[in-house]
Amino acid sequence: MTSATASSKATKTVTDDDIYRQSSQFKKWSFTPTQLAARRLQTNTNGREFVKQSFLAADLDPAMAKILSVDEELTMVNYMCSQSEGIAQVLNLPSKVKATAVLFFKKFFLINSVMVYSDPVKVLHTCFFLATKAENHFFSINQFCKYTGAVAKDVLQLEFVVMQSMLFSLSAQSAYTPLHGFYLDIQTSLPHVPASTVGSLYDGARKYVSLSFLTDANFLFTPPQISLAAMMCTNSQITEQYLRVKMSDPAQFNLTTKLVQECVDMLQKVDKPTKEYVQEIGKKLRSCDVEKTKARLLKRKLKEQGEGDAKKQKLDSETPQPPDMSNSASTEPASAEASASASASTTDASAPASASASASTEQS
Amino acid sequence: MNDAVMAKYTKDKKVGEGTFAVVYVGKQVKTDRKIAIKQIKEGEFKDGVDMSAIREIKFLQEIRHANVIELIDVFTAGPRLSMVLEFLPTDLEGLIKDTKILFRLGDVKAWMLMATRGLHHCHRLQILHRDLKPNNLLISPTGELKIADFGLARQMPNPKDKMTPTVVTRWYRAPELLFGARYYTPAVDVWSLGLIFAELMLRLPYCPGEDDIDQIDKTFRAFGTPTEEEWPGLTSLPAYPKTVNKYPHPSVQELKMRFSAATENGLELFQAMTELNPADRVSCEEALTADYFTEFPRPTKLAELPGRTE
Ligand SMILES: Nc1ncnc2c1ncn2[C@@H]1O[C@H](COP(=O)(O)OP(=O)(O)OP(=O)(O)O)[C@@H](O)[C@H]1O
Repeated sequence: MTSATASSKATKTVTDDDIYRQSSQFKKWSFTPTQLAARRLQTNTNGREFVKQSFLAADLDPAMAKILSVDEELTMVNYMCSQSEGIAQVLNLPSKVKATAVLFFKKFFLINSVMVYSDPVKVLHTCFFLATKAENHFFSINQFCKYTGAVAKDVLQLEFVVMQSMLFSLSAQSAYTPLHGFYLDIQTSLPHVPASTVGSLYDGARKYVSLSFLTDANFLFTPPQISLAAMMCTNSQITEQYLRVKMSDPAQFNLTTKLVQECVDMLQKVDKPTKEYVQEIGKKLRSCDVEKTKARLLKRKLKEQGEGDAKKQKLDSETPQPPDMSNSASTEPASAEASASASASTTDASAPASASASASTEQS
Repeated sequence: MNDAVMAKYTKDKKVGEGTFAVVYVGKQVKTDRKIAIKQIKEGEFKDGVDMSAIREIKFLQEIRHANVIELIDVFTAGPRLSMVLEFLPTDLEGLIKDTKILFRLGDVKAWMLMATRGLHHCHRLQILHRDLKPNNLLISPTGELKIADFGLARQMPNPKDKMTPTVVTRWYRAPELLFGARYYTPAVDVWSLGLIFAELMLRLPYCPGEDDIDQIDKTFRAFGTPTEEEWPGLTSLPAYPKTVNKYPHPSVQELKMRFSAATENGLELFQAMTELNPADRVSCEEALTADYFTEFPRPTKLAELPGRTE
C-alpha cells in the first residue's frame, strides 16, 4: 500500500539526532555523569530528610530507620526495572509501551527517593498504566488491575504524581524506535549482508536495548546512540561497516564511534544484584516507612502482651513482603500475578524470550 | 510543587465550555500575561486522567511553534486536571460565521500559510492532529493563527500498525477515513486543511454531510467519484460502499465557477490538498512552496488581519 511506503520513509527521520535534541526528554532528562550524580545525591538527601521528619512527627526515633545510600536506591530502582518484563508480558504490550513505562519509572525515581515512595511496585504499576494511555494502548483500570494484580486505588492516586514527576513530558523516546530505523536502513545500505545476519543483528540488539534499561544509558546518551551501541554489542563488524557507509566524514565517524563505545562499555558491564542483596535493601526500605514501623512496633507489643490470635493474624497479613511482584498479589487474583512474577524471574530483563515475536507487534 | 504551580496563575472568569473541559481566562501573576485555563471536567473518565488530556499534554510538550497553541503549565486542583494555555480569544469558525467581516484574498492566504506552517511542524515531528476544523484554529490577540486541540492526536505508527479510522469531525474527514482505512498518513490532516481552505473562500462548509453515508456522497459530488485505477486498492478498503453514485471530477471551469474569487494558483493548491487518493495529495512541505503563497496578493500582515483583539 502506498501509505506504507510514505510512513517507512518517515520512520528513518525519527532516528535523526537533531529531532531528538528538540524533544522535551532531551531538554529535561539528559545529563552529564556529574549532573546525574548530583541529582541522585539531592534525591537521596531529600529522602533521608523525609524519613527523619516522618519519624519525628510520629514520635519515633529516626535512628530506627536504616537509611539507604545512593547506590542502594539505584540498585532497588534497577531491580524493579528488571521486573517490568513480567508486567509487559501479562499485558502483552509492544516493547514501545514497555519502554515508555520503564523510562517513566526511571525518571520518577531520579527525582523522588524510594525512601519517600517506599512501595516502588505501586509506582511501577502506575507508570505502566500511564504508559498504556500515553502510547494509545488503553486498558480500563479494572482490566489493568486484573492482569497485573495492581490495586486500582493506588494506581489512580499516584497517576497525577507520576505525571508531575515526569514534568509532564509524557513522550518517552527509547532506543527501540531508532533501532528499527537502522534495521530497515541497513538492508538498503549494506545490500551484500544476508538478511538472516541483519535479522539476528536486530534481535540481538533488541536484547541489549532491553538491558540498557538497567543502566543510566537513557540519561546519558541519545536513543540513536544507545541503539548503535546495542548493535555494536551484537555484531561490531557490521555495525562499523554501516557507520562507515553512512558517515563519509572521518571526524564524524570517530566522534560517533567514541560516544557509542562509551555506551557499549556501559551495556557490557551490567551486573545484576543478587536476590539476597535486594531483599536486604528491601528490609532497610521497610524500616524507613513510618507506617510499617508503627505496625511492626504494635505487633511486637501485642505479642508481648500475648493478645489473641485473630488480631495478630490480621497484622501479619498487613506486614509487607519483600519488594517484588508478589507484594501486590495479596489483594488480587493470584493467577495473573503468579505468572507475572514467574516470567519476570525466569526471563529477566536481559533475555526476553519472545524478542522476535514481540517485534512483529511492535508499535513504533 | 503542584500548589506552587497553581499559585502562579489567577483564574478570573469562565469563557467557554466544550465536551470535556471548561475554559477560564486568567493571568500569569508574575508577568500579567493573559492565559486560558482549560479544566478537564470531573467524572468524564473513571479510568484516571482523561486520555485526550494525556494526548494533548504529551504532544503540546513537544511542539513549540508560532502556529501551534502553547502549553504553559499543568496543575491539579483536587481531582481536576488543569492546563494553562496561551490565551486565544477568537477562532476561525467564529470569523467565518461573522458575516460583518469581509475576507480579502490576502487574509485567507495568511491564515492558510500559518495553518500549513503549524501543521508542517507537527508532521515533521511525526504527529498527526486528526481533528482539524475551523473551530480548532484559534486566533491570538495579535492575529496569529494557532492550531489547537490535540486531544485526538497521535504519533505516526510503524507502517504495519493499525490506527482507528473514526477520527476527524465528519465534514473534514478524508475519503480514506470515510472508507475505514486502518493505515493512513499525515495526508488526512492535509485533506482537512483543504476543506478549511474551501470554507474560507466560500464562507460555508464545502462538504457538510448529514451522516457518514451522506458524507461520502457529498465528497464524491464535490470532488468526483474516484476509480480503482486512480486509486489502487480503493475498492478493497474496509468500508468502501457496495454501490456509489458516479460523479465526474469537476473541471477547472467548474471549479472557477464554484470559487469565483480564487486565483488559478489558489485553485491548484486547493486541488492538490484535496486529491482523493492520499498518495497523490500534497504534503505540507510541498504545499508551502506553492506559487499561491508567493503570487500577488501577498498574505495580509498580522497587524491588518481581521479577528485581532489588540
Ligand atoms: N486557549 C484559549 N483561549 C481562549 N479561549 C479558549 C481557549 N481554548 C478554548 N477556549 C474557549 O473555550 C471553549 C471550549 O473549548 P474546548 O477546547 O474545551 O472545547 P471545544 O473545542 O469548543 O469543543 P469540544 O470539546 O466539543 O471539541 C472554546 O469554544 C473557546 O470559546
